[in-house]
Amino acid sequence: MPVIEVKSLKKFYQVHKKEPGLIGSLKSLVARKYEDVKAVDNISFEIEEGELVGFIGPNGAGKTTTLKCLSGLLYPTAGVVSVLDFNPWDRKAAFLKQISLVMGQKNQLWWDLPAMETFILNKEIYEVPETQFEETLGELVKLLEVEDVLKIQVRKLSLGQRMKCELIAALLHSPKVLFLDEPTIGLDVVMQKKIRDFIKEYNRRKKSTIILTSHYMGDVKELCQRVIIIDKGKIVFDGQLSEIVEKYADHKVLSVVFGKEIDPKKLSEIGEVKEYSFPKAVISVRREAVSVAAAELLQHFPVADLNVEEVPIEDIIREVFSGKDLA
Amino acid sequence: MRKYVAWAKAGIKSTLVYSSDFFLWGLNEFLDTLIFLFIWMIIYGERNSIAGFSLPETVTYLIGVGLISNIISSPIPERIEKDIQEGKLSNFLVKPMSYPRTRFFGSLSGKPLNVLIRIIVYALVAAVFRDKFIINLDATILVLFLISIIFSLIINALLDFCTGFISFWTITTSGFSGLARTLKSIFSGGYAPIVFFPRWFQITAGILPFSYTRYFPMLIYLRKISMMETIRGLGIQILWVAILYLLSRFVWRRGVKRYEGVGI
Repeated sequence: MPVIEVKSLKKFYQVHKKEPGLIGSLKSLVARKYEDVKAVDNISFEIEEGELVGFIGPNGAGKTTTLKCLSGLLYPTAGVVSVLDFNPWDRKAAFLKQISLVMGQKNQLWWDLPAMETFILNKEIYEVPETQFEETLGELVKLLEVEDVLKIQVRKLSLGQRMKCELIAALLHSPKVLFLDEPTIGLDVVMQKKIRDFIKEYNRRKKSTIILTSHYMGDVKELCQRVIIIDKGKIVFDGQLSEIVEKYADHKVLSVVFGKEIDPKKLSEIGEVKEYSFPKAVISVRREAVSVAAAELLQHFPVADLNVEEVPIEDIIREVFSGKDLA
Repeated sequence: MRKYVAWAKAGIKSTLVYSSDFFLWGLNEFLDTLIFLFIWMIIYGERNSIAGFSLPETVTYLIGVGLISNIISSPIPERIEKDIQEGKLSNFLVKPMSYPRTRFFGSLSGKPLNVLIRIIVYALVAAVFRDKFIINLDATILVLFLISIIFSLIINALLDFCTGFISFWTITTSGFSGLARTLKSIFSGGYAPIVFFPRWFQITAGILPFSYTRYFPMLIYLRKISMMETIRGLGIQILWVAILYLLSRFVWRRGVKRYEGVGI
């Protein structure tokens, strides 16, 4: 029984179009032209309990809209959504008590008060028993190392500290389903790593189902086995992260370090030279021709070092978004 | 219920951060009312009464109406507009709590301190006009007066919700809520007792709910209406509470369906 079921979900926004300039503004006062923006256009997927799924796609692809439909914020234009056997849109208290939505660009902490005040407030809102509250809070505070910032006014915290506190506020009621929308946005690499490690650990310990959107590939690569790639409101890929590489990267990359200067023209006989500046070269070779190419390199060139690598996943996904057909 | 009390508590703590602001607003209010009353004294000149209101009655009326306005008014429409525009409403919708209830109880949380300051401000104004201010200590009248103010507060809050929820459709409502506020002030008798206005205006004001928020309580205090009329007025207040409650609930449900949360 999947925890999340989405069937043919559509969400269209009506946007009114305005021609530029003053005349355009006046025209739009009298007769407005409306246009449907298909934020999410007929998507379907299922997510099992305890899965940690990455939702990736460029800006405006429909990631956040999907999350909003799943958490009951948006009323879908069409389609069926079921989360924990509830229709999210009904926003039943029993449903809301089991989910949590964290948006990296929005905050729920009270700006003028210490984070601890928001935690206590959430304890009341979610009706968390005192002992469970103490226990969960203690655990989260320790995992995220924020013991010393709980009593400081939120406005005085750094972005990273604030994000950690946001996560705590969202997890105090031990939600079964967690929606994380760009949780690492704007954070430095060290802090990104810490948040990632935390999410991974949290998923492992609590077996909660997590959907994460991000446009940092790093987040997805480290955290998720399964990814759903969405672009222009449609799902373009749904499966194991490793499958993308196997399925869609028909090339591998040979990176070579030469001992002596060579003739770059000769190099192009081996494969497509992506980069050459002595002593380093990067050559793209068809998957099935890799061993032959490597052997030839070793035989005919003064090779000091040779590595065979997969095409970086970022590159594959960039190709996907720039229009290469995956199907 | 406990969650809304907790919310209100956090609200108090949060506003106390800016407590100096309260005092400046109080001073502002004091000067405003003072000028307003002096103008009315000039209008009266040598006259004994206007439309059955003596000068002391009008002075008392205006001081009373000023105080009631402050007790019942709330930042609800601006709050709702901001919450919808900035997408903050999402924070409430994903939690097991009711947004309108949270905002209503939240608006009550600022009340005690606010009302205390206003009472001091208007007591000072009354002290300046002490030879014209009518003090009514009849217990029955005072109880009825207080009950009518409680209903005023609820009617006003429900009107505020209806106005604020318009943001679901228009994105900005500040123009609309500004107009609504002015109309509300005129039709509730905020600038002058409603009997001062022409007949058609009085009839219109009688049909609308606004006069039951300020004019009506002051009529009780000044003994301008009989006991029967008072009871009838309280009944109409209850009726308005019911009508506006249903209306605001209807608008809320329709609005939330339209809510898009900001940013795709």
